[in-house]
Amino acid sequence: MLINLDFESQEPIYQQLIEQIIEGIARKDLLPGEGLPSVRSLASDIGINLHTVNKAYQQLKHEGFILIHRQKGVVVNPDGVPKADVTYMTQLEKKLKPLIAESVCREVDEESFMKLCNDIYKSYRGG
Amino acid sequence: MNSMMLLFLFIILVPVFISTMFIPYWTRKTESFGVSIPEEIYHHDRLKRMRKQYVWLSGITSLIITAVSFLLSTWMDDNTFGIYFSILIFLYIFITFFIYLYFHRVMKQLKAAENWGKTKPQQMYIHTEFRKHKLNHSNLWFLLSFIISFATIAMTFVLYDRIPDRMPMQYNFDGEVTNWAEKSYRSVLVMPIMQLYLTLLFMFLNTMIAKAKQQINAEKPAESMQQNIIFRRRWSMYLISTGIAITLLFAFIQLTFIFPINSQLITIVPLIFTIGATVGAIILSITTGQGGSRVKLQTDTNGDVIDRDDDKYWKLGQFYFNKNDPALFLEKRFGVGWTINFARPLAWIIFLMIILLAAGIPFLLGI
Repeated sequence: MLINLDFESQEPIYQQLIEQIIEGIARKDLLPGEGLPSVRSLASDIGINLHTVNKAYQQLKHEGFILIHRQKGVVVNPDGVPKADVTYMTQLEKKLKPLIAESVCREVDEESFMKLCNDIYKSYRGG
Repeated sequence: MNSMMLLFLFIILVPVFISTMFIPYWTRKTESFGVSIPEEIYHHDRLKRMRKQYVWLSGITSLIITAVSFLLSTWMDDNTFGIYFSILIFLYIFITFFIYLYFHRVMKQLKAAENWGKTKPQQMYIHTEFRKHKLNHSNLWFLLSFIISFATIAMTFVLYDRIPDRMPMQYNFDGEVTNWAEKSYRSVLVMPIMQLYLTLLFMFLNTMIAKAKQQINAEKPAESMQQNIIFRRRWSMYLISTGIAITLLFAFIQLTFIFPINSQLITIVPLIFTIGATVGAIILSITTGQGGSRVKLQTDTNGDVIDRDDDKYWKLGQFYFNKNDPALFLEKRFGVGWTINFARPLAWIIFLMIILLAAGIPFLLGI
């Protein structure tokens, strides 16, 4: 999978890395059990500090997207990503609220908002 | 001066000149005189003119250096000429670097004035499976080199008595011996040890080819990745073949100590090797280009993004210095091949070790 990073963006690089890998898993570009580059090799290729990559990998591991083996290296969780639970749903709601609030302020109607969501969902399914 | 010397000079100088003059055409098209640019800008008339001017200026410098060395060689003895020749080569490197610096400065001013790279978003692409591809050819090929080296050592000791007490170590342009070595168990091992050293060096470089930083052109990531794989494999192939050829060459030189071999052959064989290696490198540079940029694949069209601008890490446009980057080896900016990250002490140490070993081997063996 191609990871795409934007160094001019306000969003920190480790956050972009996390999102790119999650998107890759959603799109099935990254399959369960598939190997990912080691911390050192990814950091060297991108040209950033080892800590930045480590931070992204640690968070992904914490959230169950990847496993970090001592021997096998970094792999996409072979058992699949843990299913959404109540905590996740409350978290999702919390994250969505300000986005929807802003859309309401900017007069994005419910229909357009839902259409956008639909399109994004499709883009991961259809790939 | 004799014709043999002219030939030697020609063979040493011409590839150096050619590879200096045409560098601007062999680099990636996202770079011009050490300044990163969007690929479309590479085909600007202004930049085309600059590349031509660079070829002319460095070409004229090459001609002057050649003319001066031929003139000097007519009224100097070989030893004095040798010194002046080294000075001339140094001067050549110096002058061409200044020509480069001039164009580098012009490019920098142009980029700032024209706002190149400001209109399109800068992105970086990394392929997670890049290193799962076969990026170089196996180091096992060097087994051949090891076999040749050990055969050379075995032959040397079996036929030790046939080696004369004094071995020629260096010839002048007239084919006369200028440096002799006394025969001993140590001094007869110079060639085999050089063989082993070079084989290990080539193995290291072959490994480095696979390990060097992944550099994908953001304007066409998929094509660029394929080009880069081809680029690495071709140079790996080149390394393996020159590596094996050089061990054969050294085995041949060792043979000349043991058996009476036609002196013409002694000059011609190294000559053929040198011609083969340099012509091969030039052909490879022309057909492949830096990072594989000259390999035609046409699978991708230029997108709406450009490479990340990393000019601030390239000192004088040529020396990469980035403390945050753990990479040791990456592609050269202005040229074909790889360079080191000067901000990494380990890269320096490896670099110095290679040089020290090369200089130290003859010294340790008492030549």
